[in-house]
Order: sequence, then C-alpha cells, then structure tokens
Amino acid sequence: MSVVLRVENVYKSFGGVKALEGVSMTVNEGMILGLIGPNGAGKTTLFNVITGYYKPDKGRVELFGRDVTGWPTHKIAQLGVARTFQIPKPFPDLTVFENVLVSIKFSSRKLSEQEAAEEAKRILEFLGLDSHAHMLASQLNVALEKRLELARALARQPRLLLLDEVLAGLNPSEVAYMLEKIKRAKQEFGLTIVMIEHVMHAVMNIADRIVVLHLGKKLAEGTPEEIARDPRVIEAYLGDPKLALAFVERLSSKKR
Amino acid sequence: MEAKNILRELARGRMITNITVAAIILALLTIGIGSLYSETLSYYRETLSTFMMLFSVVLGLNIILGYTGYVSFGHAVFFGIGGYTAMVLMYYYGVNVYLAMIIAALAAMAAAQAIGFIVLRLRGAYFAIATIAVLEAFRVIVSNVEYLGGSEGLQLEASYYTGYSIAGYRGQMSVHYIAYFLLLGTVTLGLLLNLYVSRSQFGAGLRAIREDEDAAEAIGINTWKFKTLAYVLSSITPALAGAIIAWKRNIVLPEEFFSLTLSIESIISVMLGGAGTVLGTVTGTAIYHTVKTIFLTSFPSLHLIIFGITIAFIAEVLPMGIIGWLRLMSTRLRFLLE
Repeated sequence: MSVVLRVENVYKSFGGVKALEGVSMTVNEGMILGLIGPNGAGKTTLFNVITGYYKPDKGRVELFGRDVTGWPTHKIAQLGVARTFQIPKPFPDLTVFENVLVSIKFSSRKLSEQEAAEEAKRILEFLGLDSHAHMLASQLNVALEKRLELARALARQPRLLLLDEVLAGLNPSEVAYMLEKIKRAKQEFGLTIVMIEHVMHAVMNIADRIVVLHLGKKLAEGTPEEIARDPRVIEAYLGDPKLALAFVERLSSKKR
Repeated sequence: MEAKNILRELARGRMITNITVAAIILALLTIGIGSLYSETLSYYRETLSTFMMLFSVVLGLNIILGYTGYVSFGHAVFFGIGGYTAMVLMYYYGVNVYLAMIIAALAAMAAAQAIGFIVLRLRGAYFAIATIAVLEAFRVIVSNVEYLGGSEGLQLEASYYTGYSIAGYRGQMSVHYIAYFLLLGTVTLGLLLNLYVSRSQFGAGLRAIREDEDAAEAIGINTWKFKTLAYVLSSITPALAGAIIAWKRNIVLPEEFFSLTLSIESIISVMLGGAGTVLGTVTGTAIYHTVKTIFLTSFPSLHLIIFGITIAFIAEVLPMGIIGWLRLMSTRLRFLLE
C-alpha cells in the first residue's frame, strides 16, 4: 500500500505560540485518518501546513512520494489534494451550481462545457443539493453550506481529501447523512481522507486510524478502540484521568 | 434544470450580449461617420467622445474591480501613464499618435505589473487605499519633473498636427474626428476583453478570487498569477484613452491625467451598472454620463453633488448595480444577462 501523505517532524510557531512541535504522521492510500484533539491542539494548523497555506518552520511534508514542503497552495491542490474549511468558505455570490462548476473547471480533468455542467449536476445530486442548484451560496443554511464545501472538494476528483470539521454544527440526522456520503464518496472515488473532527462517535465510527494532537504535539496514535481507552487522551480532553473516568462512568450509568 | 438547458440559456444570454455589444459599436460608428458629413452630429461626436473616454477606463476597471473584486480606487493612474507616455513620444520625438498609443499601452501594462507586485499583496480597503496613494504619488512626482512639464504640463505645437487628415479635414481640424474613431477602437477592444474575461476559464478563476481568495487557491487557482494578469489587462484601455485624449487636447496636465475624479467616476459607473457584468459597464457608464451631462449644463456648480447622491443610491438601494440586481430576480435572468 502506497503512502499518500507523510508529515515528518513539523514545527510551526506564530510569534511565541508554538502551534506545532515536531508532529509526524503517515497516511496510507485508501485509509480514513481521524485527527482529533482539544481546541488549540494544532489540527487546523497542520492542515494549513499540508496544503501550503503555511510554510513549516522545520520538518517536511511529502505528498504522493514528492517533497512538497513550501509549495504554494494551488500547486499542492493541483497534485490532487482537496480540502474543506472549518469555517465554510463558499463563493457567496455565485450559485451552488457555479461553485461546483468552477471547481471542476480547475481540476486536472479536461472536460467540455457540457461534460463539466453534467458532472456538476451529478455531484449536486450526490449530495442532495440539486434542488438548491441555482440559489446563491450565501443563502444556504449551515448544513447545506457544509455539503457544498464537500461538493466543491469532491468536484476536484481529488486523491487526498482533507476535511476540517465538516460535521460541526450539524444535528444528529445531518451528521449521519454526511457520514454516509463521506463513506460512499470514499468508495466511489477511491479517496484517501484525513478528517479533523470533534464529533467523537462519528470519527470513532468512520476512521481506520486516529491521531491525537495536544498542544502542538502528537499525543497518541492508534485504532479508534485503542484511542478510546488511552488514559492520556481522556486526560487531554477532560483533565485529571481519574476524575474523567469517574465522570464518564457516571454519564454512562445515567444513560442506562 | 438539466445541464443542457443551462448551457442553452447561457448560449442565449451570450447571443443577447453579442448583439447588444455589436449594436453599440455600430451605432457609435454610424454617428462618427455621420459627423464627418453633417454639422448637427458634431455635438454628439463630442459628448460621445467624453463618454467613450470614461467608458474606456470603466471597461479596464471592470476587469480588476468587477471580476476580480479588487477595488482599484486610483485606476486613472493608467490613464495618466498612457497620456504622459504618449505625450513624451509625440512632444520630444514627433512620434505619430498611433504608435504612441501602442507604446503607451505597453508602458501602462509594464507599470501595472510593477505596481501590482506591491499593491496586489493587500486586500480589501488596504488595496483601495494603496491604489489612491499610487495615483497621488504619480501626480505629485509628475508635477515636479521638468522633463514632463511639471505642473504646467506639456503642450504640442499646432505644427505637430500637419500630417493628419480624415475625409477632407486636415491638421488640427481632423483631430476631433480621428480621436473619435480611435476612442471607438479602444472601446471595442475593451468590450472584447470584457467578453473574453466573462466567458473564459481565466474569468471563472477571477470570479473565484473575488468571492474567496483562499478557497480559490484551494481549488488549484494560481491566484497571484491570475490577479496580476487581471491588473495588467485592466490597464490597457485606460492607457489607450489617456494617449488619445493627450493627443486630442494637445496638452497633458498632472491634475487632469492623474485624476481622482476620473477614478471615482469610473468606480461609480461600474458599481451603478453592476460590477463584473458586461452589460453593466455600458448601462452604468451611459446613465452616469447622461445624468452628469444634464447636471453640468443645467446646474454647473452643483454637478459634483451627483457623485454623492449616486454613491448613496448605489449603496442603499442597488449594491449589486442595475444588471446585478436584475440577475438576482430569477435564475433565467441570471443566465441571460451576462
């Protein structure tokens, strides 16, 4: 199995704030890697380093076996990397259809206008956005905005998809819908996915492997089961592990 | 709506735009030719020349402001660079206006590349302020360079014009006629550039930059290259108009060529018609120019008030401009009005 993404010993600081301190990870082809950690752990910073928005102070980023450290964002995108943004960044005064169409136009595929329009329709249908196709993106609600983010990323037909909290702010049925779509997209397009997520049950359910970041360092890595039982992870999220465990037990006993 | 229906509506919209643009050019051409033979048309020749001068700046500005979303607030800087470049060539080297125009446009493009290298790093209000600063800097520098005539400007001798003629008019008599057709050529080029931007992949990239520059990078658009090219393209027609007007008026003056007023007038025209639309450039400039002309003749001392009124009107009632507002009315109009 080939390595899609390799991050090696990456450092990044902003003034006195050390956002990333020696983070390394490897993502193999076809896997879904969940990236979790408390707020301010450096997850989005890591995405921004991978996609070229930030140049790391130290360390290297490899995509599809090529050293892309310091490459500009658009060149990294052209390699077949697509991302969504934590705070959705749709093209507000373009319609939903136009948002997806422009993304298709700048993907590596060479399509005629007709083919591009049909492809846009197909992706909108896949994400249940076809009835909103000619609305302005600025008129969408949060749930639809998140779907549009995903649609615009998928429109690039990427090999590596980076999802930054696509489930945040969604209600349970919307979370289930998105998870289903992400799974199907992965199968249909043969995607490799890295997802930052705070909705724990979702990421535990969908990810093959999980990396936990805490204060800019990698705290733990493993399968969802291993991570769920790791006391260091529980501590990072909830503080004192003994207290946290007691808290979790009380919660689960109440449920029963 | 099916994909092929969308494409059909889009094609229909493009046809409407093509016909409108062709009709405008033909009408202007007819009036121009008519004015050569009819005295009554010469009033229109002059007012339309002023219109086309503004329109040339508007067509350039629409590329960077309308499609790319960068509010170039001092866009008349390219009008000035064009005017002064042409004047230096004509005044010191006796170059004819046609060659002077071409060199003026090239000089403006080079200047846009250089200015853009600095100002295009800024976004939003900072970019707008920087472009005003650039315009003012040019004005002050030009006012103080003796080679460029300082604050007195440079003025061509009557003898310079002896070689020019059109339809029996010779020398200085021919200038206003020739200038009209040169402005028409500039406007035609500007409309073609706008049509290209509106329909090309390049233009799609510019729109994405306007909407969200970070997201545009994320979908693989080289935003730096795209916006620099947009800025360079946006300098061409203003520079050509500057060169023509310098020749037509036989004089260049710092305040008139590096003019904040002209910059603001072109912004108003773009915003009034609908930034980032081809039809909007015509609509906005035509309405603004007509209203201004009426005010200038009826209430000469008050005409600047329409600046304020128009800006307030656009901001309050029509932030998208006339064509932009119509495009929001229905999906169909969005496809039909380019």
